[in-house]
This record gives sequence, structure tokens and C-alpha cells, in this order.
Amino acid sequence: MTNQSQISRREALRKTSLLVGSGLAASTVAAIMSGCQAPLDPDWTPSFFSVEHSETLAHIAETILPKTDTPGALDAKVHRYIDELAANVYSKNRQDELMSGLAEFEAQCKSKFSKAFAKLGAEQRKEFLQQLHEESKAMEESTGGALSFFEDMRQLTIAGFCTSEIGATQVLKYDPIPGSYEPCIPYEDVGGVWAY
Amino acid sequence: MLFNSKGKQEVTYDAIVVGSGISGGWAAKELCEKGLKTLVLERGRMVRHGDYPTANLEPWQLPNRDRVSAEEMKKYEKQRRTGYTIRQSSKHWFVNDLENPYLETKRFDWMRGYHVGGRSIMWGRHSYRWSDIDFEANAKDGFGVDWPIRYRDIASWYDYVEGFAGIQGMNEGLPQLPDGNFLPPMPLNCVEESARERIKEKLGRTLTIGRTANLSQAIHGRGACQYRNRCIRGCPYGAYFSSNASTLPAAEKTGNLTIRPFSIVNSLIYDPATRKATGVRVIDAETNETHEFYSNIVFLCASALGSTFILLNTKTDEYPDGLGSSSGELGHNLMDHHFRVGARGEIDEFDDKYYKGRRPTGFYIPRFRNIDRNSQMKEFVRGYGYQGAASREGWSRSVAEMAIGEELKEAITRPGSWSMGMTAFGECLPYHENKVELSDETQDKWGQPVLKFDCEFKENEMKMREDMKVAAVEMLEAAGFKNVETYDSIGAPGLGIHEMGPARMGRSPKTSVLNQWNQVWDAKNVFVTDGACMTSSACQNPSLTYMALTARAADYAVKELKKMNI
Repeated sequence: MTNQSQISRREALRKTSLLVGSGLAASTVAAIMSGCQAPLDPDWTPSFFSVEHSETLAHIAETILPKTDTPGALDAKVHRYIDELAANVYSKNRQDELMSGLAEFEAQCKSKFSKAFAKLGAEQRKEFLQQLHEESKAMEESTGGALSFFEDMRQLTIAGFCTSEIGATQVLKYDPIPGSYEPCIPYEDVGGVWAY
Repeated sequence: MLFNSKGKQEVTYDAIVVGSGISGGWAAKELCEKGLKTLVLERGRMVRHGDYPTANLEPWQLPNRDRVSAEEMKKYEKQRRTGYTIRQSSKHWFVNDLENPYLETKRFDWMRGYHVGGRSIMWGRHSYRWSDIDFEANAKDGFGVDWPIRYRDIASWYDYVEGFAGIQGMNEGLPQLPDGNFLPPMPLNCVEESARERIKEKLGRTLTIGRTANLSQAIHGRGACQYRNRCIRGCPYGAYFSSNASTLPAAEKTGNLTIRPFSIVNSLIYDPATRKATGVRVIDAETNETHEFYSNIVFLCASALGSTFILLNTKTDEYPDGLGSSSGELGHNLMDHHFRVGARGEIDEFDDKYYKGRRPTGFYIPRFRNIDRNSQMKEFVRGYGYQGAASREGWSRSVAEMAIGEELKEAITRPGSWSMGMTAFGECLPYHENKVELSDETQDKWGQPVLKFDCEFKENEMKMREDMKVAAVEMLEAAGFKNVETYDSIGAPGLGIHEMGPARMGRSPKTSVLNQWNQVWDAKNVFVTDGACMTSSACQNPSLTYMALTARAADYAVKELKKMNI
């Protein structure tokens, strides 16, 4: 972090202390502090991550599974899923791994683009993650399958998306009470993958 | 000792059944229907049919998407060893290990739930008859003692319990896996059907639908399977056999049933003058108060290890090591199936085919080793069968080539290729030295001693496992599968959740705990009809045999009562 940005953050903090008094949500304050962008998920406060980290996670997830003609990771609130697992399920080691992975991710991003990941445009985000994917594949080959931060994020995003209500019911094929078992039907009759 | 404040008559029944799982539910139904006022004692909480809190919850409605928090997992340090049972959707069916400790000289995975219905709620539902190849095995190769019964003694009881429980399956006419009284079979999918044909043609072995206690059509007021495959959570349709949906409502209908939850049976009350049990001592799990209940007969159906605990803890002047210990076999000959060995492979046919619905069973490949002269193996005695399934991979497969973005999103919405896996379940021999005993080194929440396990798989099981891998590969390759990979992860005894043998049946009181009617040799009005009674383990899932033995023993017990013999 440069001196310049420290000063501007301090400045921002001074300004926002006035706003806190006017009753703005903490997430809004954080969003203002992180660069005056509208918060991605204003009605929710993360349990484990900071609001800033959580927004980064939301951008990572949305880049991995973007909104197209169907909903994407942000619609499915995948960042909430990652926060829930980190807060409630993960061991201390796993939590630490995630935090250091995130810190390294941001550092790499800043050295490449001189910007935080959240402040990149969609194309730059994609470019950066593609690069990490290549590095991750190379690393897996050399280390025999250790999970990189990127691959961790990718798997969490897929699982979080596919087990979310929006992902399962709007993007995958959802059939909560099949009522019968059809053992062998043309694939076109389903035309997608079963949610579970 | 505390005395009941009520008069003795109020706590006296014709019969007491300890436990409400598969065996206890059947004992309750049979005894109630034969007119006996029956008290069922269950150590855990009440669960009425329909009390299945997670049955209709979707993944996103479950905390942490069905995962249990690190903090809560501390209560399940042993129960979690299966790897699949301690989830938000099913954890309430498994015991709190902190309140219910046990000791392990060698690791033993004792998986259980304390509530009305017991493991009949979360059992695997596979239901296979045993054959004379199984009942004669001990006598033929000399491991263990001879079963006191043969297939002809139990065949009509298999018919009877299958008719009530509802078992779907296909008759195959095999001597090693007798045909049954089945509901229409659930179908094999196209890959399994193709494997069935190729394996039969090339190797002469049979791949059939897994025979399970799932209703392929409605019977006895219970609904047909809806193909949700959420059985472990409890079925709101009553579409698989559980005590809660099946036997206990039948028992209740007679007006003869009393169920008392939170009733931990500590021991039997034994009368040396009559050489019979007069009742049971109970600790109330909630209040810690002690109660006594009395009856003419007692059915111990508290699970293989639960019933053995009660016998071991019934210490009398005559039997200081527990009622039923005179043979020196009580607590010994503990068995479980060894499994988690097999193979899987991929097939590049049928990519234009898919399925609808989630079938609550897979396929079964019955035993084909050591069943006749041509199938004798030099390396091991007894045999094994396989359970497995073919399916198309879903979104959880690694979509490695598609890194991120629209391409990845597209890829996860399509099914992957077909694959098929099979896991062998093998017979474990009855070894006297595989045992469980009482220990005061630690105590449970109620101040009782605990079970201490000393049990392991031995050479015969290990040699069998080598063949289990080889034969699985052979069949997958014969069926046209590619990239076939084996796996072998034995775990510890108990993980099969088929504990058997610590109060075995036999022909002599010198070498067994129970006679041919499941009566304790040392106390003839005490019957043990759960997994404790099993003289050998065969390789088939054992619950159907517990059902048949329980119904048979209940029929005998009532006849003996009427003859004033017990």
C-alpha cells in the first residue's frame, strides 16, 4: 500500500465518521472506504470476512460463473456461502489458508494492474483469473495436486452455485419429487444436468 | 435400589422388548398381534412416523449447505468416521459420542442412533436371504460353531417378513442367494443393463438390482417410493421399511403396545430359583431415576452390542461375568463385514442417454466364490458380493479444461460421461479372540460401565480383499469399461455397521449363548434376536435375517408361554 492511498483512506475515514452518525450501514461505509462503489450486497454483513474481502470474493465468483442469459454467482450469493463455510465449518488452519491466499491474490493483482481486484473491469478480472488458472495447473503438475487459492475458489464457486436455490432451480435441472425412475431416456428429454 | 412408587402390577407386562430398531419393532409387532401386553423400552427419544425434521429441506435451506460446524463435530468424533452420516440433514440420528463413550483396544467404529426406530431409520435397506451355503459354512470349514438352524427352518419366515416389510427385487434362481417374495424390481439403467448382459455372457456371473426395503408400489397403507433418495433423513411417505412407518404402527393398532422412550435398560433382573429373568432395571435417561419393569418374557433387541452390554452387565452369583456367559462365548466372536474395496471405470457408450429420478438402490452382484466345486478358492474360505451403480457424472466432477467464465458455466450444466463403480462386502470369520467386554475405566453419562472393543480383520479377510479387487476389474473390463481403477480402504471393523455374533446361537450351551430359538441357554425366557445372535456373518446384509429370526422366535415364545414351558 502506498503512502498516497494511506492518506486518501485516512481522509475517507474522517469523512465517513460523519456519515456513520447519519446511520449508514457498515457495509456501505466500507464500500465508500474501498472506493465509493455501490456495495454488492448491501443488506448483508459477512461473519468471517471483512466487507472488503467479501466483495473481492463476490467478484472472483462472478468472474468464474458470470451472469449470462441465466443468473450468475453474484445472483446466487456465492460469496455468502464461502463466508458461511469459513465462519462455521472450517478449521483454524483452513481459515488461515484462505486468508493468506486472499492476501497473496490481492498482492499479485496489485503488482500486475496496480489496482485491487474489485476495481478491475470485467475483462481484466477474467484475464487475471485465466492467468492464475494456468499457473495453478502448472503448480498441480509440479506439486502433485496441492490446491491453489484459485482452484479452491473455483471449486467453492461451483459447489456454492450449484447448491444455491438460484443455481439449482434456474440453471440446472431441478426435480425435487421425481415420483418415478426412468432408467434410460434420451438425453434431450432432460437437456441438462440434474441439480442433485 | 429404588422401588417403583406404583404398584407392581402397574409395571408388569406380558412381554418386555428392549430396543425399537429393526428387531425390536418386529418383536413388538409379533408379540402385540399375538395378544401379549408388550412394553417396548427405548433408550432414546420418541420419534413418531413423520417426525423427520430434514426430510423436505433443500441444500440451500440447510445450515452451511448441509455441513456440520467444526464446533458441533466435536460431539461426533467417532460417528463421523463413516464420512457420510454427520451432516445437518442426518446428524440427529447419531449418538453424541461425548455422552456415550466406548473404549478401543483396537479401533472399532460403532455407529448407532438412540431414538425410537433406531437404525431402521438410517439403514442401507439392502435385504438378502441367506442360503444353506451360509448356514452350513461353519460346520463345513470348521470356523466357529455350527448354526443350529438351516434354510428350511427360516424360509417361510423370510416369506412372511418380506411380505410385510416390502422388498423390491428380482428373482434370479441362484442357490447362493435364494429367491424371495418381492415387489416389482426397480429397473437397472442402460449402462447397468448392458453390464448385466456382458458379465453374464463372458463370466457367468449375475448382476441384479439391489434388493432393498423400498416400496416400488404402495402396500399396507404405506406410499410408493417418490425417487428422491433421501431415505437417511426419514421418509414422509413411509416408502421404505422402518420401525416407525411399519412395525410399530402395526403393534400400536392392537392396543397392546406401550412404548417408553428415554429408558436405558441397565440389566436384567434374574431369579436364580426359577432360572428366569423377572424383568429389567431401567435408568431414565432424562431424570436418572431407576425403575424396574416386570414381565414373563424379555426380548433383547437392543442391537448386537447393546444386547450384549445388557447380558454382560447382568452379573449374578451364578454368572459373575454376566447372564449367558457360562459358555465363555458371551462378548466373543464379534464380526462385521469388511468392505470399501473394489473398482470403478468409465464407458464411452450411451452418451445420448440419461435418467430421471433418484433410485434409492444400485445393483448387486451375488457371491460367486466357494459356492460349489468349480468356484473353490485356494487362498480363502467363504465369499463376498458387490454393491454398485452406474451414473453420469454431475456438476461436482472436475471440469478442469474449462477454467472460468461462460465456457465453464456451460460445461457444468451438462452431465459428464457414464461411470460405474462396485464395492465388495465380504464375510468375516467368527474369531473367539475378537471380543467386547465391560470396562469401568470410564463411565457413560449415567454412571454405567462402557464397552471395550478388541476386534480386527485377519488373514482370511485380507486374502479375500485381493480377490475382491481382481474380480471387480475383471467384470468392469468384460463389460467394456475403460480407465478402470481399483481402491482399497479397509477402515476398521464396525464401519460396515453390520455388527454380529457376540451372543451367538449354537447347538450346545457349552459353546454358545443362545439355542436354536434364540433363547439364552441360561435363562429360557430371555430371547436375543438382533445381530448378537448370528453364528456366522455370511456376506449378505443381515437385517432381513434379523427380521425373520425375530418373528420366528416370537412365534415360538408365545407357543411356549401357552404351554407354560417358560
